[in-house]
Amino acid sequence: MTGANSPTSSRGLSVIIPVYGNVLTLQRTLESVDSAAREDAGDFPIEIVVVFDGLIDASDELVAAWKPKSPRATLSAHHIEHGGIGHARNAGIKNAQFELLTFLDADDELTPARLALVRLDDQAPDEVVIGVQSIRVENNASIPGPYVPTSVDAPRRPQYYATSMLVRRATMLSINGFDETYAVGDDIDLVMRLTESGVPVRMVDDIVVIRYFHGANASYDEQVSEGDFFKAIRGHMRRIREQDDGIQGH
Amino acid sequence: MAYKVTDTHISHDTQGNETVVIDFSGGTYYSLVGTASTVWMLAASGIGDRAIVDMLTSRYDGDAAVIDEQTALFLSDLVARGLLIVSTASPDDATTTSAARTPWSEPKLEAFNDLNDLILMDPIHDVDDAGWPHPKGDVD
Repeated sequence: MTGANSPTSSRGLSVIIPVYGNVLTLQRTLESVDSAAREDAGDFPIEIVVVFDGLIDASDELVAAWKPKSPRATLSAHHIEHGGIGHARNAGIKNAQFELLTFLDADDELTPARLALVRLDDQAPDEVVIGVQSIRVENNASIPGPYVPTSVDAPRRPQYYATSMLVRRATMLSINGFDETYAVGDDIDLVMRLTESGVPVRMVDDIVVIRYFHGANASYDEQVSEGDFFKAIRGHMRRIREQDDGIQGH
Repeated sequence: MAYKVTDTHISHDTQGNETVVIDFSGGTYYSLVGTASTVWMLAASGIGDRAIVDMLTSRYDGDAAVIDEQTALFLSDLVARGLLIVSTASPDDATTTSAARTPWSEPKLEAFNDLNDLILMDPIHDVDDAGWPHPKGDVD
């Protein structure tokens, strides 16, 4: 991932929303950003960057007709060939107007607390900040097992979701963005590569996203989720071994 | 005696000659290569310890007593680390293999602790008794 398609300004937040067949939930997602912008006490501008990762429904018509009510919010839309979530997020990074980035899935809701994280960035701009997700279930769907166990003794799974993250564009570009070969584990891989690069990751308890389980989430495919998780771990091990070999070779 | 994977907090995955085991209770992850991966897969599948050694001696070139001793030590280590537990189920039998024999090497695991904080970083589950959406320390 190199370069950028648009000049960036430092003061503001770009909310990157990849869209692929989300016409039923996208308006709720867009409204959540607009609502948070009106509720948040900050005055920085907020850019909603919609990236159509291919087009398989009328999502583009919905976006064309939608206008934010907050004077702080603007919207830009970009079309790319379908390449998956990481591909779409990377396209959003390239097209983002602002230096500070956050990500949101087109079936989830952003909370005002996400915007409040920008103040943390003011204090420590080198940090990547990851907040908490609140889970909602709709359509009588189940919750994928590895993510929310039925007892405290059930397997735990780290939650490195991009949709809980606030990160600087320069930081993302420095590690070549998301690895587009992942189906769902690009977030985990990203956090590992960030830490390998010495970027501090800060966890906060604020709920920054409402994540919906509705029966069509990609994370229902446990085989893919688990496979991507181990792929990220193996990638991390390979890199630190290569680093160790390099050190020993000198 | 048979074993099973500690399914409350252990995930594992084998590709090629390497098994990666992740302990979500402590944040440590392990690499088991070669004979270590083989022993893990056999033990995780419920095969009894005697059958494991029989299978290893049929597959690897090495002193049977050494294979027996090193395998027992390795299995004990896996249990001590909480990766395997002793199963009360009847051990399964194993079939010996006709694959080409390879030299035996002592099974060892490599432990990694560099991702402890990240593996334990778990904002969905780190909540108090009130459950969602109440993070720890949220008094409202």
